[in-house]
Amino acid sequence: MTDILDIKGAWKTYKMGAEEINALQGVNFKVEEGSFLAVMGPSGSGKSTLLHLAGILDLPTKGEITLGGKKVNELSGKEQAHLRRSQIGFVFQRFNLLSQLTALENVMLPMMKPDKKKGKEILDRVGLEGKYHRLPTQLSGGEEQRVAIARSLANDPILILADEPTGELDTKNSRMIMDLLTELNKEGMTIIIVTHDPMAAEYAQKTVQMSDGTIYE
Amino acid sequence: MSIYKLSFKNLKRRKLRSALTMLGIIIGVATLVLLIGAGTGMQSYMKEQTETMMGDISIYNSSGGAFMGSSGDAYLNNDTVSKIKNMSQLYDIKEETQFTSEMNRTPIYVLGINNWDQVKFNGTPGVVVDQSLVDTFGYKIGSKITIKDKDFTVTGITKETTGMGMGLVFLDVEKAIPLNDNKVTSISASARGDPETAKKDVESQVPGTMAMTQSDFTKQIDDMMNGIMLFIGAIASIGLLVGVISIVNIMLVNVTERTREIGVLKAIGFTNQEVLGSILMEAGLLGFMGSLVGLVMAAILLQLGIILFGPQLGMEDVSLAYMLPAWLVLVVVGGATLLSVLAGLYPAWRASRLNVVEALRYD
Ligand SMILES: Nc1ncnc2c1ncn2[C@@H]1O[C@H](COP(=O)(O)OP(=O)(O)OP(=O)(O)O)[C@@H](O)[C@H]1O
Ligand SMILES: [Mg+2]
Repeated sequence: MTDILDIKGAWKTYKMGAEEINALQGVNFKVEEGSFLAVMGPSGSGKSTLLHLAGILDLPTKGEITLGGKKVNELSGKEQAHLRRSQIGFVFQRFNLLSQLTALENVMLPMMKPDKKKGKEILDRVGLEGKYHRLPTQLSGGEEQRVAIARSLANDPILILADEPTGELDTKNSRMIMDLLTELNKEGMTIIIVTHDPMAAEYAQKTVQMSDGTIYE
Repeated sequence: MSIYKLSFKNLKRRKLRSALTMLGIIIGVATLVLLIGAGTGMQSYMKEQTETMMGDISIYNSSGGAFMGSSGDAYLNNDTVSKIKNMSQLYDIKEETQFTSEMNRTPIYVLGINNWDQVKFNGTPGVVVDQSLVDTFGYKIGSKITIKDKDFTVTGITKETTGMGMGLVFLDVEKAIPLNDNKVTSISASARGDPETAKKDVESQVPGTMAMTQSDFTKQIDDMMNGIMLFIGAIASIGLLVGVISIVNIMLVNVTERTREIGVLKAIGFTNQEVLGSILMEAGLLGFMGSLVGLVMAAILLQLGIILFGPQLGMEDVSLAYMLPAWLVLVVVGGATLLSVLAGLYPAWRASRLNVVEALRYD
């Protein structure tokens, strides 16, 4: 199995005045293609920070990240953005749909070539057939998160990263979202979720624990 | 769904805010176009009139010519006129005279003209009185009037006015000159050969005269109008500037308000340039649409102005195209759009520089 993501000796240090906060302290993290991982750990342990590095939303203070065979540190800002757009799907705790766009428009937003048919197919797949033209305010939280997952699939990414995707949902909706992610994983998608919810973590093939900026497997 | 389409959607999302921001541009552009347009219209109209009405050169008394309220020696006298008429370089010589007088104790201004095309009136040429005399004395075509003890029959009525509360009478120049002790205000003539040469010949051979060629006139009109328009343009531009500054302000508010959204766009994989471009586009759209609306408003006001004031100025047949030449439209719309894009630069730059992770955390 090839590694889709390889994080080696990653440090992330925030400077707050004279104080230095080490959000990550030499993290090593490998993700095999097709795996479904859950990252758990106490608040402030560095889970989101790790996910941001994995999705090239941020760069490590020290260390090396390889994504889909590309060394992220060596890419220009523009190349990083392109890599993000073409290879990664991000799902957030707060859905983060664009409120002025319909479900379909949100899904089509990241597409390199606008493809309505494909947009509708993806929405069908997450169980939102017939709700293409609803605005986010006209959808339930669970439906919004499904649109967000549909959006993350728009460019056929190699990796889906989800930071507490069920954090704002009730049990029923949480299970629907986790079922959906499991289904995607069965079809071959590599998925990493950060979660506080043991029920959500049960869906993953493997759970890693973080505390104080380091990973315990 | 491209990020640039998002710019339209964003303007639509905050309709009132966008409209109010555009209002600054609308007012600025409308004022600018209105003033410059009116000026340009006058300028082209005056130049055209000069070219069609005037011969190659016009000759006046060297004191500058006799106009309303001038003393007797500001005219060209009999002697001078016959000297000019005898010059072989000149032909097609036409005289004009103008003087003040009274009609039933009402002050009037008499214009003796030879080209009736320059006056708009109802009736036939010969003796044309203005509306104020018609209103005061109830004259109509066929009425008898007396100027300097001479009787005339009104042949026409005009809407033009002196604009100074004086009555206005147009007379055939042959009838007017004897009334003014055979004194002439100006002579216009065609020149054999170069008008500049003819002008120098007149001035050197006929003492006490001053001559102007068509291009002297056009230049004078240009000098005067360009000066006026530069001045009013500068003042009107202040309005536009205020509009542009309000774009900077509103775009900063928009960008701050949409911090998280911009974070999302970047997380999805849009580049900094694309984010920058979409904000510039939004600012540019504000300016572009605002300037179009302003332009249309100015056009309507100008047309209204032509309808309302055209007849009194003898300009009712001026077309809107005179006042809104293509260059003015292009410069104003292009300029306002460009300025708005520039106004968007700083907000756009701020947006493009946002840290993704921090932006995503923004409420
Ligand atoms: N921009 C920042 N400036 C300073 N410190 C930061 C910044 N971002 C994160 N941190 C700190 O880094 C540490 C790790 O943060 P992170 O968000 O990764 O935690 P987390 O595991 O996701 O927590 P939670 O479960 O509450 O979401 C925390 O101590 C946090 O305060
Ligand atoms: Mg977190």
